Amino acid sequence: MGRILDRLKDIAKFFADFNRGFFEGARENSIRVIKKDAFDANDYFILLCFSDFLGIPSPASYYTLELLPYMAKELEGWEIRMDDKKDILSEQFEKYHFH
Amino acid sequence: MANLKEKEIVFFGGKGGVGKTTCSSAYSLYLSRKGYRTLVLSTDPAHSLGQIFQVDLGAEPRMLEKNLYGIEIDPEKESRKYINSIKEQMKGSFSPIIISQIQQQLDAAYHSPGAEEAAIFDKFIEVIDMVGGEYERVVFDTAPTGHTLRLLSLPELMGGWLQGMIQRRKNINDMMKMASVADKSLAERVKEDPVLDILNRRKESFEKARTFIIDDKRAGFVFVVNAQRLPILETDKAINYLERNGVHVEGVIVNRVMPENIDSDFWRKRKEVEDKYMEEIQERFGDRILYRIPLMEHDISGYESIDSVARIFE
Repeated sequence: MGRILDRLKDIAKFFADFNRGFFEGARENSIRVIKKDAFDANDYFILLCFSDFLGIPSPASYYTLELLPYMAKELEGWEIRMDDKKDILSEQFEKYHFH
Repeated sequence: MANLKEKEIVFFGGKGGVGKTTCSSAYSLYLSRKGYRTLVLSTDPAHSLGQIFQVDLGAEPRMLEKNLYGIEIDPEKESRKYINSIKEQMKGSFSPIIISQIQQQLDAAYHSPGAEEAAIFDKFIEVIDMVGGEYERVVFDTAPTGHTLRLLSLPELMGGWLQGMIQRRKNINDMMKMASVADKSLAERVKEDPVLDILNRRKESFEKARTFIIDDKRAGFVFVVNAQRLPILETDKAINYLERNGVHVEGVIVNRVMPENIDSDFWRKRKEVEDKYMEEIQERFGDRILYRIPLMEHDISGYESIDSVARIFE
């Protein structure tokens, strides 16, 4: 009787661990994807604002200048990332963990 | 011109050299004498407005006569003011390295396409805010046609772009908020977004300007034309363009009409050429011809001569 109870406890614990790992893991994964999408979208937004800086003229560049005081911090990292955008495919696949 | 003086803002447009500045300065003088507190402004780099009134005009309103004030908008000065204020904002918060990198871009901005129109339009927005308050009437002596058409299209062009950028930024902020559930530092970042605030403020000021410009009870456009081929063609096209974009064109003023009594054969022949063009003007703009201003014996410079033109508006 005791052994069956222990066995049941082990099984219950296994399912608790499994549920936690499975659902939280999926949640962490989707948060990671959303975060990457957010940062990618932000990089694109910066590109639209400051394409001038990469040598691509924009009709709105006069107006985006007033955004500089609030976005200048992000520019250095952004320029480096723009330079590194060599392998776009691998970047896209990376977020889905196809290894 | 029965209705014209009811409009709070009147733009005078037309091909270079037809007498826009003469007409707009005479009209603004007429308004001021009718008792309206009037502001006349020009973007002409050749300072013809100041020259006509024989006064040095600048970015701050200067009194020309009782009830009449004048401004000359210098787009380069305006863009410099704008860029310098951005540089000021950045001084305290960033390392000199970042600032010097951005300095280059900021200094190059004067020459970017559209910077001139953008600077003029910003000043124009400032002036619109003064209508109904400091000034009851605003008369805008515009730059030659092409520039003006681009200027007036600005709110619509930029409105679309701004809306797109605002939507993008909102989406980014939403995504960051979702991702910040697991990341405290990210949560801090998405609390307020000054970038979104600035974009929204811009969008609102453009909308306000556009609403004013297309409100045919408050704003009107007048074209000055000479009885010559190119001014007529250009004006016809420009009127079509403006009306297609919702800007109401009040009418056309024919300037420099030759007198009827002519002695010399040479000038009579010139008058015949002019008559042909006057017919064409009648055909194309018939019901819109507001005034015909005669060719004067003297140059238009100084109050007396502007006065002689201003009487036409009575």
